[in-house]
Amino acid sequence: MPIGNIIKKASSLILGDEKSSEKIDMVYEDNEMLFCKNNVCLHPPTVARKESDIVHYPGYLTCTTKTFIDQYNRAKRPTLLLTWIPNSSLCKCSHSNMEIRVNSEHKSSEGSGQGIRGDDENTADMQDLKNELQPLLGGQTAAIDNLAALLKKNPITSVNITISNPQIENTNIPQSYNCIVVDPDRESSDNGCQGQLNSDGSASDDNNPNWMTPELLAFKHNLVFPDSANATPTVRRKAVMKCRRFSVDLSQMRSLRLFFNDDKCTSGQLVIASRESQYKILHFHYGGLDHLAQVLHQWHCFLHNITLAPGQEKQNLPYRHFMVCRPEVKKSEMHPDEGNVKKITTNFFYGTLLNEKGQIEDDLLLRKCVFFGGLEKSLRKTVWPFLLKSYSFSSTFEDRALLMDIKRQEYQEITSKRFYSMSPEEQVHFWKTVQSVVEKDVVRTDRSNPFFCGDQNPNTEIMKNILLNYAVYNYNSGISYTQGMSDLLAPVLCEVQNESETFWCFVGLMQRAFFVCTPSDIDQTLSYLRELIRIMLPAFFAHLQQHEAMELLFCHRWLLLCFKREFTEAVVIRMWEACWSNYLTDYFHLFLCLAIIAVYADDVIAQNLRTDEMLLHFSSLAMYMDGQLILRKARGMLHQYRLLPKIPCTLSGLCKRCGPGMWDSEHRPALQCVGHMDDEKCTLAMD
Amino acid sequence: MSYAYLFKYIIIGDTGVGKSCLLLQFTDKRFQPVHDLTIGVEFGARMITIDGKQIKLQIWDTAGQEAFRSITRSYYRGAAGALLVYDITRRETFNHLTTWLEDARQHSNSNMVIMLIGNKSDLDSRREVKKEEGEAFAREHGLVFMETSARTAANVEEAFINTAKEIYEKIQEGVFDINNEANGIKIGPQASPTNPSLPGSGGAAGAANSGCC
Repeated sequence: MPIGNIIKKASSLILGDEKSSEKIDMVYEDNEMLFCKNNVCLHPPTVARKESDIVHYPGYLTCTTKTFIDQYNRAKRPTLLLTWIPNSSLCKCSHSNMEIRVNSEHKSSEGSGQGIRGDDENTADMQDLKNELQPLLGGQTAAIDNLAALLKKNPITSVNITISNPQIENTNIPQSYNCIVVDPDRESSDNGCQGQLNSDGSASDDNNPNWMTPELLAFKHNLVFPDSANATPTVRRKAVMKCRRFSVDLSQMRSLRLFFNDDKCTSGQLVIASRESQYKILHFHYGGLDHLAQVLHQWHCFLHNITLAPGQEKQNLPYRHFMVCRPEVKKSEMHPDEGNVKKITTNFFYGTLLNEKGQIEDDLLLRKCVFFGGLEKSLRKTVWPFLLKSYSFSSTFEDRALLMDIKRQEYQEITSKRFYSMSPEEQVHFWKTVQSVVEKDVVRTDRSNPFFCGDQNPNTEIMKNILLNYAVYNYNSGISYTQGMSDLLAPVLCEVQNESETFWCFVGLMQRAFFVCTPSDIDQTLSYLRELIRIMLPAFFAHLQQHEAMELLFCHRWLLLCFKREFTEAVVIRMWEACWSNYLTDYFHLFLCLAIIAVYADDVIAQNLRTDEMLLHFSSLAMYMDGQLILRKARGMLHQYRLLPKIPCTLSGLCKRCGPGMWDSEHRPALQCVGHMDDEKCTLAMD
Repeated sequence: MSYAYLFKYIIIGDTGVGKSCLLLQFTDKRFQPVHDLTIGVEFGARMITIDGKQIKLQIWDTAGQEAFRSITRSYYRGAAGALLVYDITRRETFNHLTTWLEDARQHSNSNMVIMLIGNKSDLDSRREVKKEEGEAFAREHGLVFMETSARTAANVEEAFINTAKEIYEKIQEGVFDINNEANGIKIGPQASPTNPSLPGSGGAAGAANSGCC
């Protein structure tokens, strides 16, 4: 069965009426739980550069109907209550006797070998749990026996999503309840659990057969963050800060937005924005977001129906926005070569791209392959120096050996110049303006990368030498060290490793970086980006105009660090390589900016975010955006740009620098003057 | 979570004086000696209570953007408070205060409350700037002064909260026009005049009850 149908079926079963999903006039009970999902994570705001830096606070998410009675006109107002409860408060003894690790069969439970905690503690935990859940229960509780009896009459279907195999399947409660006790080794403790559940009493609403108690569900689902995924969360659990229970009336929120970040559209983030621009991001790492989308969609239809009933006005619709954002790039929006060009493998590189003398004859093919498919990791050390212009594509093995020798010597000369050729005054000045800052920064760069971690790491020392030497190398040109350079250097050093080779790669890298730009270069780049936004994303451009946000504050870090802090490292390196390939454009970084805006800025316009809110919006998306998708989208947008019949003269520079291949032989867009200020000259007139 | 006011702060000062650490200590109550260099702007937020009123502090920690210097001055725009930080163990960070202050005064609104912070007070043995010097500088330029330690958390709460108190007093005195968001103050959703016809404005029972920020 296609997944959509399964979801539909599952939701309709959950909603209690199999046919209701087809119609809009379904009936919701008050306090009905429409959705529940375990291991929905909150990530406390931390300085996270990499996935492993992110602290996960797994919790239990529920979505429950609620009817509020308006105090002014006594009108009933149905709404949804979204509640997230941290696992820590749900089930504190999870490590000892309640952990169920979900594997492909989602049936095996973990034997931790830990003793069972005392009953007293358990009771206290259960009381905590009950107190936490009280608002959800609507004040009504009942014993598990009642529920069991109910279950026999009315088999409840829940949607169970397994972790390793994120598919949605319908399971019956009695079965999945059984899965707690399947492990014979754990029988005794599980019985203990059950006993606990019985004696402590779970909650149930007699009047509502579809009501599932959170306790039961809590037991049913895996409550702890699985050890499999990098295992960092468990280590960090002791962190002082805690994410507390979070509960909101969704009708009070400004927007709800679902971002899917996997191809199957099951995992991603639910972003809730309150009217005062407070954001809550809930992470669905293990699927289930598609199901929530379905539930919300049905609820939306249901509400919509109410709102459109006679006598009521449309603006009473409590949900201002409910948007599902499936960041997909449609086939028609993609570059036609997308997917047809494979990653460069070692065999392809040495077998096809290099000739017997070691020259790369068809550098366009190499650049095209890097642009679309990237490089095998082991080739980075070999190919990056070409891309970063350490040596030319036409150089032979011999040429390169010779050149590297010369360059190594030159590097040594720079080092000795730094040590011995500066006057005492120069040294003092150098120490004050460069060295003291570099020394502080290298130990604050990519610390989570094992290559740089720890005190007295020799690689940190190499990074320092390269940066200091770079400042000496450029001493007379006025460029020295600028903060952020170390961020760009670190991944190169990590791959190339050899100090002198890394240095020369870094020199090439800085040629294309913002650090060595004059203010007017930066203005030029930003104005290109503005123009690209104007012609490619006019709605966003209008938004920027309205808020006088033309300085594009939110893009600055993207450009400065070439997206290093916006995406996880693996995908950032793909982006860098795509930029370095200079395929079709020298300004691929600007198309990456465009792609991010195209994919993730709908919300900015819909919620009419101001300049600072925009900055918040995009910085909260850092490390959570789908980089592969952005790459596809950027390549697609570059393709669209190249198809434009006319481009404004303000973007003429964007094409001028590009080598052959920017425009197809049969297509060359016309340049059109868009008008200028008095003190500006049209580039067309100057040429 | 509802609040009466939202104040925007910025943290400025030389690199490595402990800006991000101060922020982390204030928002998360922890000290992280090893962290990555701040580039651009990072945000922190915390609720505090002054005079029985909930106030949300939204703190902008900015650094490392020399390349965009001409533009990033707009970070000052709409800030109600600024923490100007130097490192008591490095004289030059104190010497640069004048430049920072000029920058701040030039690009912010004139009512912005500036708190001078001498950080790393736990490293007294390596002290290069006397407390009296900090006090004198603050007096001379009309700033509030405090020595803090992001490591031990000494005075960190006080630094942020005293700044907020000062802003709050200015609001009470009518110095700040709270309806002009360029002053870095926003009125919270609770205090703003609500429209009773808006759906759910009476339904406080289900109102936001958020845990973090």
